[in-house]
Amino acid sequence: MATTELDLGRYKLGWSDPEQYVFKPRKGLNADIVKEMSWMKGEPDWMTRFRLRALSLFERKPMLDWFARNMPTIDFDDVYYYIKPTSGQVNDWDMLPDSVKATYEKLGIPEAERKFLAGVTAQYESEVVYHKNRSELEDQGVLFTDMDTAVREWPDLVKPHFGSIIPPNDNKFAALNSAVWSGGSFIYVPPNTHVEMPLQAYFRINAENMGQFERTLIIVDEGSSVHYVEGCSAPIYTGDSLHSAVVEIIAKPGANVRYSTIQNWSPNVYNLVTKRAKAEAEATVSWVDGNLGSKLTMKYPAVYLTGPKAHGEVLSVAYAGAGQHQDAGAKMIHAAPETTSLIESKSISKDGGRTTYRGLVRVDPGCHKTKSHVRCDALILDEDSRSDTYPYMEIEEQDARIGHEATVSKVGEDQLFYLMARGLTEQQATAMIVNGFIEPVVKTLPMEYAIELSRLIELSMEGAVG
Amino acid sequence: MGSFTPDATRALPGAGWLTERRAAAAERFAVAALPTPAEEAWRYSRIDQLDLDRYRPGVAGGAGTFVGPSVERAATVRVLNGVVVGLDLDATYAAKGLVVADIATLAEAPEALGVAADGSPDAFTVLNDAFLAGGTLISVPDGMVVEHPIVVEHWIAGAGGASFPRTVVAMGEDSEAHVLERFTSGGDDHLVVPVTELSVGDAARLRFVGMQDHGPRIWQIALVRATVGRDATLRASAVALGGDYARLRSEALLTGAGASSEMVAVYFANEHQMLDFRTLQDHDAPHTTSELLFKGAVEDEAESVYSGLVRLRPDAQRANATQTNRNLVLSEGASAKSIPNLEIECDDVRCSHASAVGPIDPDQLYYLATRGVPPDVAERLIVFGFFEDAIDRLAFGAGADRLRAAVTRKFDARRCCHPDSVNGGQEKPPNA
Repeated sequence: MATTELDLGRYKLGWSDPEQYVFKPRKGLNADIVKEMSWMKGEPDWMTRFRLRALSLFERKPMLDWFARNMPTIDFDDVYYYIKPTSGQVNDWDMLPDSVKATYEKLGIPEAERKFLAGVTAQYESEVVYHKNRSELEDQGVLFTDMDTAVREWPDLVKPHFGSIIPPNDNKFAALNSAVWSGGSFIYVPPNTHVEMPLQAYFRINAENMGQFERTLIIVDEGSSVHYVEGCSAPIYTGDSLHSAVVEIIAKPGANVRYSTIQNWSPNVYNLVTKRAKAEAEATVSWVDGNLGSKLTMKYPAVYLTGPKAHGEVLSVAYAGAGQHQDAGAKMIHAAPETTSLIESKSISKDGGRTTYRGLVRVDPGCHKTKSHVRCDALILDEDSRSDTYPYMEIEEQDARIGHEATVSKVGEDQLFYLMARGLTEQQATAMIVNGFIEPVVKTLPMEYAIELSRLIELSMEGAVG
Repeated sequence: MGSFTPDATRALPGAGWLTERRAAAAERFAVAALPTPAEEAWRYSRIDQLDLDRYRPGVAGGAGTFVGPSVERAATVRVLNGVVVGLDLDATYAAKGLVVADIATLAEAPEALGVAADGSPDAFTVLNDAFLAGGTLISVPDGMVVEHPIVVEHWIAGAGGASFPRTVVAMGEDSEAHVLERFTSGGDDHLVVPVTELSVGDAARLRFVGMQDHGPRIWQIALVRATVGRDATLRASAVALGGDYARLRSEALLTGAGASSEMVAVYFANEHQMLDFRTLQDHDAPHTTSELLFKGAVEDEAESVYSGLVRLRPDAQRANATQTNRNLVLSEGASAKSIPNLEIECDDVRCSHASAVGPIDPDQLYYLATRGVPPDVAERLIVFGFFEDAIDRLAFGAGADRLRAAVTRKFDARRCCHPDSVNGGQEKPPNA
């Protein structure tokens, strides 16, 4: 046993590189910083105006009570809103500075590249520094680039859709993101195009007290399909970091979009993300969401089913260890007839961690023959931990069929006994049962991610006593 | 605040302790704000439509209409607008020490008054404290088994009135009783704010059924709250059929090891009714068990809200809790909201919940149609089948039959029938 004992309190990817930055402005947020940032990025006029309008919305929107209660320690003036890491963007791995390269090597990005993932956009601090698309994507007419480049080069695609799903006045954090966003991915898939390989981006936060506000926009045209994968991992720091992303997905009629994330921010990050998709007629949008890291995550991926026969899915796994609160969930808005949705949430809490499922299924009047099923299962691994379930259902249509099920339990004693009778230690048996518990969600991930997620859960589980 | 001022409460009759208690509550109410739908506990409710100024306390209710006893009873209490107007207590039980009394006539405050309700007050329980006329005290001594039901019959009447009925049940150690509380009313526009407190002592067994068949213009904001002691059992059921807006907050606090509660409800809303339920299964001791089954149907433009919480506190190891809410939506325009919440703060527990909202299953209708059952008859059969397991659990004998009859009345009042039925889904003629 002694040889495999791991210190659970230690964050596994928690190294940090010395900071070397080209431009690092003052902390805090005001119109001058926003203007300067927009100018540094060489943005068109409409984007500068968009940012300034969002900033005034952010300043005007009141801080909500529940937020202030949950996060008494956050200070918006103690955050760097924009840091430009190296002087420009490169498309060859060897041109990256050694420290940046070393960081990614620890995260295994070059291997991922070698494994023929369709494209890699690695975000180091605020700018995408490394980017490479396989040439076949270009041949298909698929655009996969960072958001800053897209704003400059594809304004005809970006301008009408940017902020159309999540307008800056949606909530205080969407306003903040709209004012100071930097980086993130832009994907456009032309009609009737199937992107066979998952597109992938990896995000990292490195500077202390550095806010990361990436902005992702995915437009999938009629009859096309794409799978976008995003993994997050931040090194450990003592100050509190804020991560507040906005992700918008537009699935045109018949499109199929899957967005998979594994979030493994270090345990000092506040992760407040607004993710929303619009699924038009017969389109399918699914969010696969793994929440392992951060101090507090509040994330409720939403699908607005706006066309007949659209389908939405949220599959999520959450793990909360010591000092962590995973407040995650899903939102399904049935705004058209014959739409269907599925929510499956698996959560695990341990060492005083807290997991919360908070979800909404809404069926608008006139949306006939809709169906939705919600299933939430929670495992609590010790007596200090906590699990909550708050599923809201607002059904305004008679023939909607809506179901919800949830269970909360500990690891079954019979299951443990069975495995231990076969020679497994209690720890191995527990890890195996937990992996089985999350299996329905994990199996929907690409293989490298499925392995990574299982491994991360196993690492966190070491030392667990059912 | 309108008529609900400290001065108004001082004008009410009653013993010294009661007037003092009321005055203190009225002072609290005077500074309390009425809830708004922005508060989670009042989300989806119609509380923003409540205009307290339309109501005043102490409106005369006439003679009242009370249902005669259908079975032998241990005691019958008749309450008119919250004022006890008749009380029959079986002499044998009285001799053994069963107390059924009008709170207003007591020389001092009964111990159990306020025990359960003060654990979770809101503006309306404070209002009840400030304006209660008295109410019913049922006190079952230690070890006594009351074999016959104790029935509290309420009648609410008087346009523009506000009533504050109070019922307090105190179950001694190892005692057993069956209490039925029934609210009926005429067609008057009336606000009724009942508070029912159930204190179930160690090893006691209480079966409580709260039923409301209010008139169509009644506004009800009710609380039934129970504390359940060690190894005690509570079965608290609710039937909700009437009212314009009828809210029931039903809470069970399991304070002793081995305590168990079962909460079952049947509700049926039609026309523009809103039936609003908030439940709490609060486990604060190990080895506690709670079970909840709420089944409802909505029709026409009616709405129902079910919002429940199971809370397993850190001490509730080895607890077992279930929570089930099922809703049938019988017509276009009706809606049901269902929010079954869990808050679990301990690990060695079993807890599950399920909820569903949907129409009558077309496969079931089809099956019955292939057996020659016309669609409107089939719908009735399916609706009755849907309610039957809950009815079976909450009532028995004549009570169950009366409940089935009440559901039938409600079902037959439907404005529109199945589109495939004989008259093609047309509005029924007024005399049908």
